[in-house]
Amino acid sequence: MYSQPLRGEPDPFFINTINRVCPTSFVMTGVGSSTMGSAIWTTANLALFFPFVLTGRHTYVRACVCNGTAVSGNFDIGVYSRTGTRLFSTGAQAQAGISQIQPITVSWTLDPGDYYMALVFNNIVATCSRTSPAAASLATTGCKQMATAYVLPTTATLVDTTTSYVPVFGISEKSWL
Amino acid sequence: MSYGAPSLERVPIMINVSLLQMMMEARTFFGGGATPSDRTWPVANLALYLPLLIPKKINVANMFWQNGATISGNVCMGLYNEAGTRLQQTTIVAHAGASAIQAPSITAFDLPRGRYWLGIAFSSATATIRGFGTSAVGADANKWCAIGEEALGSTQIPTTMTPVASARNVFLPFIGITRN
Repeated sequence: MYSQPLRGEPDPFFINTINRVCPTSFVMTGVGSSTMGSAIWTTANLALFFPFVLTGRHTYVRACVCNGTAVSGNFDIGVYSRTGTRLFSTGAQAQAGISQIQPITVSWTLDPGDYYMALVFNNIVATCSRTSPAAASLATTGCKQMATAYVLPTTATLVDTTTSYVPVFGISEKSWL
Repeated sequence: MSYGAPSLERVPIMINVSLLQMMMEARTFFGGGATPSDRTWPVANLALYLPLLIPKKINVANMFWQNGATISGNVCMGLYNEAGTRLQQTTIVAHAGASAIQAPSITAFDLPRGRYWLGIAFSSATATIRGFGTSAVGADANKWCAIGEEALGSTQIPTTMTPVASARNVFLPFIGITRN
C-alpha cells in the first residue's frame, strides 16, 4: 500500500514551551510578552497544559523544567492526549536547583499526533522561569488548565486557561540536555 | 514518467541561526537579542553543535560562518546526522577575513529531509564570530535551544560527536549552510 513520504519540517530534538512546536511561543512573541522572569507558581495544585504536535515517532528521555530563583515542594510533568488522557508522567518530583534546568529521566515514546505537555506544582513558593502573556491570548492557542490536579490525574478535565503564566518546560530526546 | 508530488516546503538559499530551521527562537525569551554582534569564541578547541531541521532534500553547496573583526587561529566545521555521526566537514582552515562570511570549499552533497547537527570549533579563544548573545542571566539558555558542546583536544571536529549540554548562557554563533 502506498503511503506518502513524510513531508514538512521534522520535529526538533527538544520540545518545549518556547519553541514553535508549542504554538504558545507564537503568542508570547506576538503579544510582546517574550520577557522571561522568575515567578511563583500561581495556585497550588493547578496544572497547566500546553498543546504541541508531532509529525514523527520519537522517544523522549528527559522531562525538564526551568527553575526560577526559589525552589520548593514538588512538581509533576506529564504528556496527555488531546482528549485529556494521561499518557506519561514523571510523578512527584522534588524541585531542586535554583535558576537552572532540572531534568528528570523518563522513557516516553510518542507517535505522530496532537498532545498536551502538562506541569503542576503543589505549592506557591516554588518558582519557574516564565513569561506572562494574557491568559485570553493563551486560550486561543489551546492552552488549558485544571485545578486540584496534583499529582497529574489519569484523566484531565481541561478548561481554557485563565492563567497568565507560561513556564519553561519540555521533553528532550537527548540525555545530555 | 513517475509522478512527483509538488513540494509545499520552502528551504531558504542560506540557512543560519536566525532562521526557523535551526530552532533558535528560544533565545528571544532569554534576552538573546535581535541583532547579532561580534562574539569571542568561549574556549579554545571547544566545539558547539546546533540542531538543523531540513524539510526536504536539498543539495548543499557549502557550510559557512560569519567572522567577527578579530581573526585568530583555525576553524573546522561539519555536519552530523541525528545520531551524531559526522557526514561532512570542511578541512581545518585558517580563520580569515575580518567581518566576512567564510565558506571553505567543499564538494556539494545531497542532504535528505531529516534532523542534523552543525558543529564548529575554533582553535583560539581570541577569535571572534558574529552571533547572538547576552550578558543577562539566562537560566541555561543554550540548553533550551538544544545546543550541545564538546571540549576537543584539537580543532578537528570528531567523527562522532559526544556533546554535553552547552554551558554557555546565550552564545549562538552565526553559522549555516548554503544550498544550490
